Amino acid sequence: MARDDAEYVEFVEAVQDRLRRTAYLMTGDWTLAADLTQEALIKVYVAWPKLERKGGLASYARRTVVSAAIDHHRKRARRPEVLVYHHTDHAVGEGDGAGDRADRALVVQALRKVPERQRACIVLRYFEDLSVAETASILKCSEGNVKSQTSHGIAALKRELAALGMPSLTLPMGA
Amino acid sequence: MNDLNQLLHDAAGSGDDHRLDPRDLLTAGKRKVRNRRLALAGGAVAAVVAAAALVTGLPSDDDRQDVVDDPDQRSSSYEEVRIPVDEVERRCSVVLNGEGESTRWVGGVDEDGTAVSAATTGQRIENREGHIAELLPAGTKGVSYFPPPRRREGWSGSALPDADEIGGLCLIPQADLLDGVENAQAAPLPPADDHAAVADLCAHRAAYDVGGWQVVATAETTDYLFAMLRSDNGYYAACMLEADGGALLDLEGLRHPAEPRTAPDRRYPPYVGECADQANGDGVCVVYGADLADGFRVDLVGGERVLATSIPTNGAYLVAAEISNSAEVAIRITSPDGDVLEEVYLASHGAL
Repeated sequence: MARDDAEYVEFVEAVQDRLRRTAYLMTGDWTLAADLTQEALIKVYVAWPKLERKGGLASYARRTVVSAAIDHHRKRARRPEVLVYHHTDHAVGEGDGAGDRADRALVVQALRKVPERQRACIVLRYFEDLSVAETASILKCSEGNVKSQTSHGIAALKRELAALGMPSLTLPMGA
Repeated sequence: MNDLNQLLHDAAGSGDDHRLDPRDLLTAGKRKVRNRRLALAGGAVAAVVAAAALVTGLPSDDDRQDVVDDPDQRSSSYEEVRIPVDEVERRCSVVLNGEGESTRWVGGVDEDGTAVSAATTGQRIENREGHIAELLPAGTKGVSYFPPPRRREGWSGSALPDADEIGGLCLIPQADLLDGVENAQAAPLPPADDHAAVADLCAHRAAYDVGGWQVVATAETTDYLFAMLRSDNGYYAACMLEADGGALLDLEGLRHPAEPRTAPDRRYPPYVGECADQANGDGVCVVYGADLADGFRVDLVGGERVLATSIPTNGAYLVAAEISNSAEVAIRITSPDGDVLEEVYLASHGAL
């Protein structure tokens, strides 16, 4: 089955924003998120014939982004890490005060403190809205493991948010 | 929607509006496919030769300028033809550029670590038609002039910066077949047993005339058709065909040795093996060589299962299979007496 350039371009247009946001939540860095998204979408092109035949184009792209983010985090973990809040000058919409922006930055900062696989479970379950089974498929682990990692991740996120002074949130108890 | 869901959407929704250009991704994707095809077909091995050549020099070129063959006359033998390095760069620029691109691909590196034409620096690069040169877009910065130690010790990776994304592996085409590269169209693969059509398509896709070579082995997977071809004068080439592309192996790497191997030799693995598309641990593995005596048996093994088998013909063997766990894939060679000569996991041998 040959690669269809037009279909690929259409696919990229459709998924890139979502992928980049997922990568951002995994890494806390928009530039890195763009790089990981780019890498993932190039890999999608390489694997296109098989993916098109078997299905799962978006799932493959998502898995590639998450795996790359986890790998990146592990590589960084071998070096001393200095957490830096990168301020970005994005347009501020109506009702979008400085306090909201700071809160969002704190959420991302807190997420970065959550172990990477737990973070991946949180992002896939609560940002991508994937089921436990779908998350397990992407992370190549059991559903039980997803439930456990998600539960631990949420607990860790709560702790980090509290440590950063975020108001208490209604977080789910687990997966 | 609970708080966490909302929180994550807010956090991710506040981000930048940077968008990737699909055309750039398309270009990079095509380059990666092309590089992977050549790497699959031995390009990584050839890259070592190319890197060494960069610093040590190769014999002089200009053995032959462009030779226009009779298009109806298929070549059945291998002839070493060296061409000037600027001609390598010109032809490979045609091969490596996508539609609408006009990048100049070069093989030289100046003292500041910038990729420039090898013709201006006097550096020698792989310049034999049918062999694989490793090139970079002119102007690429930060190129290591000397290969790193691992490479000098025989590591088959690339010394170039992000070579998988930036660099290009190019099987140096024959000038009179360049049109085929420029006008390549996706086409259905021929039946594996139609050897003439297989050899013809291999020649067309690689822009190197192996149209008259004998197909001695084939292997098929869902997306690929692999073939081993043998020239009248004892050279082998491995060809990988996909519906929209294909490549040939570096020819030197598969020359049948005067004395076929009959005993294990860990220094020089008896095979060239790769598993493609392994992001998820699955994909296609292909193993081939031309160094065994006839009567041996070559199995591609996954776990406890034999995935594919090849009986060498004139020393040449080729096995390919779809795999689900690349860590489990091994090549097993069995003697005519039934003794396992060796069983090597491809992952542990750096083939993956």
